[in-house]
Amino acid sequence: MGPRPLFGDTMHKPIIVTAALALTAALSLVIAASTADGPVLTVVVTSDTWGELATCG
Amino acid sequence: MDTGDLFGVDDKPRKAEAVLEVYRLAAYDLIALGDQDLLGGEMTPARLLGILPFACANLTPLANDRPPLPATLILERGGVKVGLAAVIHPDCFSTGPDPAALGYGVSDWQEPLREAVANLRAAGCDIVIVLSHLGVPGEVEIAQNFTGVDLVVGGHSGLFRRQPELSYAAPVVWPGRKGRYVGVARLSLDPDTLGRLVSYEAIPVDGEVLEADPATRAVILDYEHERYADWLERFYKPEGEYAWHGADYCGACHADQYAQWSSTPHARAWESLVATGDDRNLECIRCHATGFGRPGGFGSVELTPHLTGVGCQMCHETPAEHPSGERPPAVEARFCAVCHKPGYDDDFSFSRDAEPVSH
Repeated sequence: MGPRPLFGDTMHKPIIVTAALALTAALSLVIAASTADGPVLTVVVTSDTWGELATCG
Repeated sequence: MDTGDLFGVDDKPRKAEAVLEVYRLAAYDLIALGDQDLLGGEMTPARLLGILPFACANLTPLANDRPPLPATLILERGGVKVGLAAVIHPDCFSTGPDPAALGYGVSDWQEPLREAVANLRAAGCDIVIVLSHLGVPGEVEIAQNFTGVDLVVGGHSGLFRRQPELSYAAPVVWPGRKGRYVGVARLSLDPDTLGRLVSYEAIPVDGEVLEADPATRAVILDYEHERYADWLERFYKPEGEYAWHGADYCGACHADQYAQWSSTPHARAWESLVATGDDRNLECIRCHATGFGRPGGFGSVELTPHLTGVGCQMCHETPAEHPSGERPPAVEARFCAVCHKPGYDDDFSFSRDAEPVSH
C-alpha cells in the first residue's frame, strides 16, 4: 500500500500535489547543527515526478 | 534537489508552467535535466534555466558556444562546500526530441562527469553528490567505478527503493516516481567520516506529514480552473442520446433505495470535492459527479446541479428504455473499478466495500 492520500479521504491518488511543500525549507539543503549521529548534511531528493508535483493526475 | 523529468510525457506548456512554478516555490537547489523536461521540443534549456537551477554536464552546444546548462553547482552550507554534478544518458533522447534539431547535442556521459567531479574536488568541495538521469545501469557504474563521489541520486527509471544501495563504493538512492516520496539522505560532517551516508529515509508525501502550502495551492488551482474552463468550452455536450438523471428522479419510484443511497458517501461525493477545492479538477470530477464527460452528463454545478455526486446511473447501467422496459443489470465489480482503482483506492474490495452502499 502506498502513502495515504493528501486530502484525508481514501479516494485520491497519493501524490505530492500541494504537498507541499509547505516545508519549503526542508527541500533545500540544510545543515543540522547536531544529531544523534553527530553533525550531518541533510539532502532532500525527488525524481521523475512526471508532472504530478503540481496536479492530481 | 531533483534528478529530472519534472513533466509528464504528454504535458503541455501551460501545465509545465505550473509545474515549474511549484518547483520554484519549493526552492530546489538543483535539478538534473531530464529528457521530458524539454517537453517534446517546446521547452529549451535556456528557458528552464531562466526559471530554475537546472544542470547537465553532457549537454553540449553544436557550435563554439557556451554550454546550454552548467555542469555543476557548488553550495556552501554552514562552512561546508557541497558539490553537485548532473548527467543524462544520450539514449534518453532516442524517442525524441532530437537535441540537434533544438541546437545542441548530448555526448557520452562518462568523461564529462569525471571532469565535473574532478573540478568540484579541485574547487575544494567537501562532499560531492551526483544527480543522475542515466537510469539504473549508469548509476551503478558511477557507484562502482567513479572516485570522489559521496552519493548518487538516481533518476529516469522511476525506480523506488526504500533503502539505499550500499553494495558499491558509493551509495545510491532512488527516490521513485510521481512525487510519492521524498528521499532524505544524511551525510556525515564529522571530519573522520566526512561525506559518509549516515541514514536514508523515503518519506511518503501526504496529508499526514505535510500541510498544503497556500502559494503552491494557488498555482495549482489557477491551472485547474483554466483547464476546466477550456474543457467546458471545447468538449462539453449538454445533450446526448442517453438521458442522465439526478438521484431525485430515480427516487420518485425507488424511495427505499434512494433513502439508503442518501446515507452513503456516494451521495456526499460532490461535497467532499468542494471541501478540498477540487471541484474544478478534471481528474477528480469524473468520480464525484454523474455522467461527467458523457453527452448530457455533468457539466458544472451551475449547468447541471442535479448531477453532482455519484448518482444511481454511475453504478446501475440503466437501459434507455427504463423504467418502461428492461431493468438495469446487477451491479458488478467492474462498475466500481472505474473509480475504486489502484492509485486512487488501493484497499478497495468489492466483496467487502460494496455491501455498505448496496440497497
